[in-house]
Amino acid sequence: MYDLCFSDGVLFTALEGGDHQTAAQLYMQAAELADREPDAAAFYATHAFVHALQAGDFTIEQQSGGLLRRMGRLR
Amino acid sequence: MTQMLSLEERRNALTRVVGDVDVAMGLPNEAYLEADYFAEEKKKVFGASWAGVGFAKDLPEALWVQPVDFLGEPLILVRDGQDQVRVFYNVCRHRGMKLVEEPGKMNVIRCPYHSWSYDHGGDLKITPHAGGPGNNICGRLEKDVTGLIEVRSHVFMGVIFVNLDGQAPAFEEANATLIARWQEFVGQPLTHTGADSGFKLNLATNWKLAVENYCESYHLPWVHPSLNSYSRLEDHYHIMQNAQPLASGAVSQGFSGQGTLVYSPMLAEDGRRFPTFDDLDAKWDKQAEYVALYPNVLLGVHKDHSFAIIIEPKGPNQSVEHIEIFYAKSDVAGDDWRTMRAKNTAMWQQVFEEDVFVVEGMQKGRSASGFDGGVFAPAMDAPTHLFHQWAASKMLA
Repeated sequence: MYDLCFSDGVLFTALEGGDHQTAAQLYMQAAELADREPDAAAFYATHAFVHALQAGDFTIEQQSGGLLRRMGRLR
Repeated sequence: MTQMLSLEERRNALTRVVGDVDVAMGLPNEAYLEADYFAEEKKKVFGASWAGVGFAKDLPEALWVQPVDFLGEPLILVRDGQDQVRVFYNVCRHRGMKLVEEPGKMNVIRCPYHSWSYDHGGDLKITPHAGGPGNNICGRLEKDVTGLIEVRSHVFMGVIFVNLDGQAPAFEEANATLIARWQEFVGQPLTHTGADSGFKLNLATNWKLAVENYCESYHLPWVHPSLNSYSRLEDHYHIMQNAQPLASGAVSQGFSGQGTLVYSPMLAEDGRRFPTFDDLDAKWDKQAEYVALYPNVLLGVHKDHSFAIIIEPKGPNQSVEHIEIFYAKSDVAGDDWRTMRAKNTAMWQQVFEEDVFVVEGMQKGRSASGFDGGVFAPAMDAPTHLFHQWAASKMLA
């Protein structure tokens, strides 16, 4: 289901263009959609966290970081 | 022909340098020519001192990161979120990847290899997937990795200094004498006006010759006729401060140079002058001082502006001088001062360019294998000899 976020190439375009804000949003959406698959959710949340740091997006940093911490995947 | 000396010959040559000025010889040729000597200076002279590596004005806002290479050491100069300048090695603690190639404002310092990410205090924010896919916790890494390796740093007169070996006394202690001498200038806001207040000179010379030439006024009548038109040789005085033992048991940073009693250049035909620093003693109406803060920073103070030169050693016979001018008042950044700023920069550029043939000529002379380091004219060369003494003592330590 979360693959839908990436299917139209938007993520690829964002990554190619250094658009960390968009990349963080897309990865966070994917993490939320993957809530039944913890490993996948954590994987996407990790990427959301890194891109949120780069974008200076405190909201997504908190969201992704909070999700990872609840899962025991981030200190 | 190699000018390398045996260890015993080197020790003997350096011992002759540290004698009194009327009997001392200058540093031997190998000190200016040989890669091995240059490599040893990196550790003993630069690493053990406070060396200038950049300008605070190159970190224009919080979260700005500026990579610099200094003597082959990759560093990043950082202005953190609290507006403090900090310096770190430009290397990821993971696989040793160089972190930053281009300057800019960065919300995080991210390694391009595996995305280990650091904040501007050097603390690790995340080690992505380090514990396996989606798991960012790895016990060993949490235990062993403490973040970016910080280098001791201090900002003085607009220059970012570092102490690479971490063993030098605190900057304020090491340089207490100069700070006291220039207390009226230290801490005053400095205005840098951008590209029209800086320039760079590439020199085919050893870094020490640029320092030596700056220390003395002896050459002024011969090399700087424009300066000599208003500032004669007899209007200059020596400035000399030996490196001294400190209460802590460490040794202070030395400096030497010269001052003038008649600084008063005319930059505008109508007599207009740059605004001056606040609360200066009347002596600074005409006085100006030029000091080489060993090893590689050359400073000048005047009532209305200061300048700083960082000599970047690129090799035994290659150096770059980075020259930046700072004004006493922010008003000077305005358009109505543009012409005078340009004249001031042009005046200093002419002076420093007039020195190029001298420092490059002395470098060429060092290839004469029969040259023995040269002698000093005690009345005129004492500040230069003080630098030789300091540099020799560092190598003998």
